[in-house]
Amino acid sequence: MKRTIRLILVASAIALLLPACKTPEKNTSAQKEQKVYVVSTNDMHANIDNFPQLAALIDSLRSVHPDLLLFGAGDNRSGNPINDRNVEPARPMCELMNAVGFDLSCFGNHEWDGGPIALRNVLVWAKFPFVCANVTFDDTLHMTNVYPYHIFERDGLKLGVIGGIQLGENGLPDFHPKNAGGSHFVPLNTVLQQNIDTLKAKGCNAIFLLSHCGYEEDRETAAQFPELAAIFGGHSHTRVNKKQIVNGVMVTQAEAKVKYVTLSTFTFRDGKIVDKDMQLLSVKKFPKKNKEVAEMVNRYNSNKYFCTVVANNTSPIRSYESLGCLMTDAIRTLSGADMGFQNPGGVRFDTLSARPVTLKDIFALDPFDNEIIQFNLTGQEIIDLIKCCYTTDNGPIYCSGCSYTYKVNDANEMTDIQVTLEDGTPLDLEATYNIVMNSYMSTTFIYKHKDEGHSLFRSSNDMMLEYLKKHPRLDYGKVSRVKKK
Amino acid sequence: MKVFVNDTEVRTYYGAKVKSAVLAYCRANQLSLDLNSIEVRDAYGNLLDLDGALRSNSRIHIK
Repeated sequence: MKRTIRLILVASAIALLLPACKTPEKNTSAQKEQKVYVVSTNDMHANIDNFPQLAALIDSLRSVHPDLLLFGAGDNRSGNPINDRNVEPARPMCELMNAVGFDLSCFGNHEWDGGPIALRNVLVWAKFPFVCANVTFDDTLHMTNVYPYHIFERDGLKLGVIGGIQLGENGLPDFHPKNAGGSHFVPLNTVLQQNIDTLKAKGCNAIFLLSHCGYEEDRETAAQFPELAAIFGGHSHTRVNKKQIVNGVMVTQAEAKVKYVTLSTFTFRDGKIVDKDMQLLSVKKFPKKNKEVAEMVNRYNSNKYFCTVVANNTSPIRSYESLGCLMTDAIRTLSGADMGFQNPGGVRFDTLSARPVTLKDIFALDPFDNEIIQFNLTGQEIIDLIKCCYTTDNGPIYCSGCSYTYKVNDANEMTDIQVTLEDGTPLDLEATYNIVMNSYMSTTFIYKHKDEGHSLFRSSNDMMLEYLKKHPRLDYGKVSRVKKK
Repeated sequence: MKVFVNDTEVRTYYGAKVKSAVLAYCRANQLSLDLNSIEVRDAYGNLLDLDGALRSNSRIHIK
């Protein structure tokens, strides 16, 4: 009886999710009609907590359409320390994607966040292939399980899927250039036609693009390559909730973080697509959770690894500024900048006793995953930045590579700022300095400066952990670089 | 890089996300917005997540 009720519930849930899903039409003539179902998601960013519902939703869809294909359009990792800082980085996401039964993924720019060796591990752990047509790797990296395209066969139909990744103005995807090591990229539109031709020559009935290029670029690709049946996209976190056709190509994207999936339906007649449609399905609203996957997620979330000691604090810290100095030392040292700055509001606690420091401490100190931005600023622009922080963030900016004194006037503005560089010389107002700060400051502080800056595509807490590997003994208890006169 | 928020040019750093452009726009126009309650859409009317990537000359709209 219970089983019957459960089946009714699941059937009702699917019916609710698929209000417009057509039942397969009967063949009324000699023409053979077939349907292919593709579920795609993108930019999951290791939001593992939604996986039990995702798994249950996919299970339910597969109970109706056992041959459906499940694709991920890149950025599977980066966004959750439980996955990204696991003792084997990104393994939890790989195992969860295996458990849910992903058939294919393309690379996102964040797949490189752990560097090429970590990426190679992902390719080994994944039980599904990766596709990317516009990357090649040095042989010395021994990358396996990655191809320009992959061909699926469903009910006698050949379905070719090409992978692609966006490139920024520097010719690389949006990651820190040091992570590229041995990976070589070319613009997707320079290799797409040859891959389409190859798949046509192999007799594919339909050719798809699994893209991590962003919605706007996907529309441009669709306009340029009408032989594609559809583009399953990612990168811009765009919620495409109704069918959008560009030059005959259906372009989809399912926002991000496992909140949605796109169910695409392709109708073939005599081996040719005659209709295509899509629906955006909410994962969060799905009423069931897959028990086995929920157990996996619970196990990852209770990982004792986050009690791992990453440094030893030798003197008690009792001020936000001392911890701010540590944070700025980390970003300045690793970026090679002249100075580093940190807003006081971004330092999340002020007390750290003399004790071992754990991974959990670091993510509590700096939970924001802000990226670090590099600027070339003149001495005068730096003075303006310091002034601006005092007004905007209600406190003096913390710094590395320099120290400063200041006064405050009756209007509660900083005045008489005197900056001394690490070598004891005063800040030259005319000279240009290489400085780093987080992306929050970069966008919210309004002060006069010419350089618009560029992202290092590395988060501040990531740089902190790398810094602590090289400087595991902390002695910041008495460190102070800012003095009010 | 240059992006457009509500048809207003906003200068932000290369590699900026939707959230960065929205914050830069709010600061430049002295607006106080609750990021949790705003709606951001692209030039085609699609909703955007705040962590979505932007490229030069992207156009977004907030309300």
